[in-house]
Amino acid sequence: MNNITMSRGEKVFSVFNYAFMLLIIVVFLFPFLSVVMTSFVSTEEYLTRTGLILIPKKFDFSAYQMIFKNKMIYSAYGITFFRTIVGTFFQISITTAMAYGLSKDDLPGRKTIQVLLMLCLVFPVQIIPQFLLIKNLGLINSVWAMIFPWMMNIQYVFLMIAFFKQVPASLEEAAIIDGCSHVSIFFRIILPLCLPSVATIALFYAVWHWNSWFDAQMFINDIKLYPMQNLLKRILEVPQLGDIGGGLEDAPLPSESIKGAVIIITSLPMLCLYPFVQKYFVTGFMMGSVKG
Amino acid sequence: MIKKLIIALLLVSLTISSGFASGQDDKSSDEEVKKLVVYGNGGFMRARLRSISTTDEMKQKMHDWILENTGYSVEVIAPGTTSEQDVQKINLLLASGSQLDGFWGDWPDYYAQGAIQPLTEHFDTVGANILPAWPKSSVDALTHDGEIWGIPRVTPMMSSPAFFRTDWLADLGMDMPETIDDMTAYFAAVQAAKPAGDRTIPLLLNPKGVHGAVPMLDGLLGAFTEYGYSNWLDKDGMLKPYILQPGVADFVTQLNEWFEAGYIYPEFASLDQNKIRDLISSAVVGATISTSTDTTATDAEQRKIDPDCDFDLNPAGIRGPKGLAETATPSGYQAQLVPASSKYPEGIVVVQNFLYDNAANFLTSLYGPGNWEWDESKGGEAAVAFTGEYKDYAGDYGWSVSLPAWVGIGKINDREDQNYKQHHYFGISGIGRTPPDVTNTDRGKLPVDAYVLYDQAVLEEEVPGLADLQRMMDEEVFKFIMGSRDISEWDSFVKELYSAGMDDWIESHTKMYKDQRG
Amino acid sequence: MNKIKNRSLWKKITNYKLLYALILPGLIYIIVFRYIPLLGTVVAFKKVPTFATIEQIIAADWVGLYQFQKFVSSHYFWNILGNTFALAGLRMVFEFGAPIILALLMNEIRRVAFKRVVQTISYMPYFISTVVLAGLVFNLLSTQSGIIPDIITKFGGKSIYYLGDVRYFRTVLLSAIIWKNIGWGTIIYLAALSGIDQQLYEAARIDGANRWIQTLKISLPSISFAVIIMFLLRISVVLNQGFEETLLLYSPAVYQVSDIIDTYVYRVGLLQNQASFGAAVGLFKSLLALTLVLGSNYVTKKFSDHSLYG
Repeated sequence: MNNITMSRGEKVFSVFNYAFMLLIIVVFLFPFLSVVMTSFVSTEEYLTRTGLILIPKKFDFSAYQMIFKNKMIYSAYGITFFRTIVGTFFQISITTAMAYGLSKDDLPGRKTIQVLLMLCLVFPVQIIPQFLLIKNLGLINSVWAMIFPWMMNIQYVFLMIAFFKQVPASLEEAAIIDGCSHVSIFFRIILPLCLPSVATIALFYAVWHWNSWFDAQMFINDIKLYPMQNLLKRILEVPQLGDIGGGLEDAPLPSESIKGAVIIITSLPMLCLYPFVQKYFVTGFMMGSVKG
Repeated sequence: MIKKLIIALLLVSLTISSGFASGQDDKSSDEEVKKLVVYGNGGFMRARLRSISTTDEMKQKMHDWILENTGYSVEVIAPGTTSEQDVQKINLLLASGSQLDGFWGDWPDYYAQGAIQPLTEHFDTVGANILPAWPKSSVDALTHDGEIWGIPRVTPMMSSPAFFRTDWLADLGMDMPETIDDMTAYFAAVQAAKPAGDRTIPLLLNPKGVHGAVPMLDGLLGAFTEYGYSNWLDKDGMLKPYILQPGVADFVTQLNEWFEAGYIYPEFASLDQNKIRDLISSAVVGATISTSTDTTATDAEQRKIDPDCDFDLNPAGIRGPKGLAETATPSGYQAQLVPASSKYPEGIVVVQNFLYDNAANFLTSLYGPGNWEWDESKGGEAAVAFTGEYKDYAGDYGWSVSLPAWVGIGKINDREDQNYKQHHYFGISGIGRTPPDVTNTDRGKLPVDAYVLYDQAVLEEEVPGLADLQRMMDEEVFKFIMGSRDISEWDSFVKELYSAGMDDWIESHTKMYKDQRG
Repeated sequence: MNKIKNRSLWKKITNYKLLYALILPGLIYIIVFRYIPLLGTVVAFKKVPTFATIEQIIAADWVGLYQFQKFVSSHYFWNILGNTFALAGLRMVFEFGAPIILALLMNEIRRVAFKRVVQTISYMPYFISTVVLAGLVFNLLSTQSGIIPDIITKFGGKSIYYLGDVRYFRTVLLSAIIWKNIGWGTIIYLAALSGIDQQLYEAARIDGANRWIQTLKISLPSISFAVIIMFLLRISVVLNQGFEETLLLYSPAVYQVSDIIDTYVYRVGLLQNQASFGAAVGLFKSLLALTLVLGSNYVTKKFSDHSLYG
């Protein structure tokens, strides 16, 4: 790639750009790292140290032991995986299908539907009527209460419409002449061509499901059906010692090291997911072959 | 890849549908059993759930224990992570007409809207054990129109005393401070000597407490004003908020001097409870004015960092130009409430009555069977020892968490390295001061209008600027303390309060005060 | 004439019936889960507590615009409105703009491995929850040897407590938000950039265009559709953002520059159990957002092909 000689200006830019990226790495990595590393310090070290902790004097895993002592954490992970996989599947299917339909400019009624969607953006859902609806649908205390109310994010529908519109119309016209139906064009041509954007939106949905907790808190009473975020949020936000007689636990841990451990436990799977999505960003994957 | 995904999906949905199946079994059980649904936001379960969840067997065991002894099948809904979430969920349950037979809340919020029902008659018929355990003021706080609106939860408390490092006082050759000036001298000496090095903080001052207490005001204001942190009757016969008392400007001036001198931890405006506890645990703080348990409950951690670390308060209280510095927090409105829609309003009283009946019931409800035992050798007839690793039960039925219940147990023989200070402070270690520091109201002032009910619905109607006034008081007091507004502007600040609707506030509160106090 | 038009319309509709089938599930979803709950907005014109049942809501008297008047006549109304717009405006400029620039710069990196590392690292903070982010900010700015005060004193400056100072609060809040979201925000643009045909760059290079020209003439126009759509989407929700971050970082000392509509309603809600007031303020914000969207949609439609509707 670098075989074409660069002008002096470009060289300066290139040096600047790499330097800037290194700065980005420093600014983003070190505070994050300190959160991570704080999870490995003991109470005593945490209380006697100040500033950012980048290397613990002694690695201490009690924050993790404390979190995994709660046996419910494993089944909670199962619930989280369930809602992430099933929920994302529903969301991405409905979103791409709807967006494809609406990407046809001459579809009668398209504008009305898009205005309906736009109004949903500015009028957010209110919790009380939503709760009543879910109750009347018989979904209270069911895992589906974490899935059905969020089948689609309106923002992503609009984004997908924009991405689908980037596909040259000539391709579809050719397919229609060949006798393909709109559904088969959608599955055979559009989806494969738009894989990077579909993968991106799927990642957004997956991360959203992964991080959600509020709906479970409100719509589910049985603690066994809580996703992992609800359990970890408790560890994160409830003060260690509550009322009198509340201090029978093992010695309490510094709040910050528990927070660090929670971050690791919740974000690691999602951080691992990213490289798989990143794969689709390989330059020229999508339309390079089409437009040329 | 896709194959694996599908298999994972199937596995997960299997686990979940089996979860459903077990859930449905509960519902199809005997219809004759009287079923109660109780929201478990008493505080104890919330703290417990941080690290422990109740196992299925334990849940069944406890459920059956309650059922056998009271005739009620009780389902407990686990609380959320914050009390705001709990209020939101309780409101959803009430608004949607879902079954709910008990929850903790401030009764005036619900009473005026007809959402709860009184329990007076049930205390007579099925709840004889409950009220005698409480001081009169706790019951008074829940009484209105001749009815008692809930099961009490709190006693009057002295929740925000000033704690001082006795070991530092000794090192500096000083006595326990008795006045505001003594405190200033102590802070100056601590700042000069820096016993904990550069991290030394002479005073950790907490401006926002828990359960509506404001430690900064509860702990200090009384020294500068006649009535302390309380509404007060002015000479013109009107009830006015604390901020208009003569002397508040002196209080703010004093805090500003402490702040400018560097005695007060500069970040005090934005500390949360975890941060406060971490700082106190670090043994770098010379004095604390915060929620008392922030200091007493971190005792074991403090001594791990500095074995000599020891906080104590002046049992006679701190004095200033206008007398004692502390203001008591009266028994609040918090109580276990029963929604108007409940079919078995007596149920919750029956179950609580069972828990109040004897110490063994009480302890079982908190800790579950097998996690504690009587140990008379360690401290007399009613001593308890906790055994083994605490596990399997998150205190679902631990509803009677309250000081009277604990005091009723007598001497708790606690693990000696932990909670010593805490139980000492609450007077349940058997070696504390009598009366316990936490209820020793001789140490401070009592609010003038304790137990007067200010109906929120009326206030909302008559004082549209309520939230504005609150913000103005919070915001400007901080500005004066931190020096971004000069104290010479105090009078113009008072004028601003009136322009934001202070007259409405005074009129509305005076009317309600006089209606109830004659 | 009309008949012919109708017939051709009908023909079009039958021709597109499969497309309608694709749209239908989404349409049912928004009607059931988004529009039906909107009926609850009626409480904004009544006076009911948060826990009122449907029967109670129906039985309650209409109070017209009482709740709106109450909000607008609040002593701090202009302050809160100003802060809300200031935060939203700053977010639209910096938080929205930064990921575009970062994505374009990342796109210029030719070493694929390095590019991936930068991308991954920049998006990690997104997974830090707001509570932890607030803790981190406190830690970095702590007067007890926080990194930033340390650096400032080392260079001879005088450090203060920045979170408690009205001059610095917004900068701190905005920096924290950008730090958390910027890497995540680049993803959508990277996806859009990946769609650009490499031959375009090569052709431009042969024509002698330098990197700067290539970025201006090829990269930026190719992702402009995503930028415009993202802009319109952001502006429709920006008034609802920033609550959690503000709530965790602010204190009464900086209310003057930090108190936004959402935090104000939150505090009123803690004082008074009023569903109606919250609903009225929510409706007020929605109408503001609607105006913003309609306006910006009109502008973008006029100057480009891209818009949310029409």
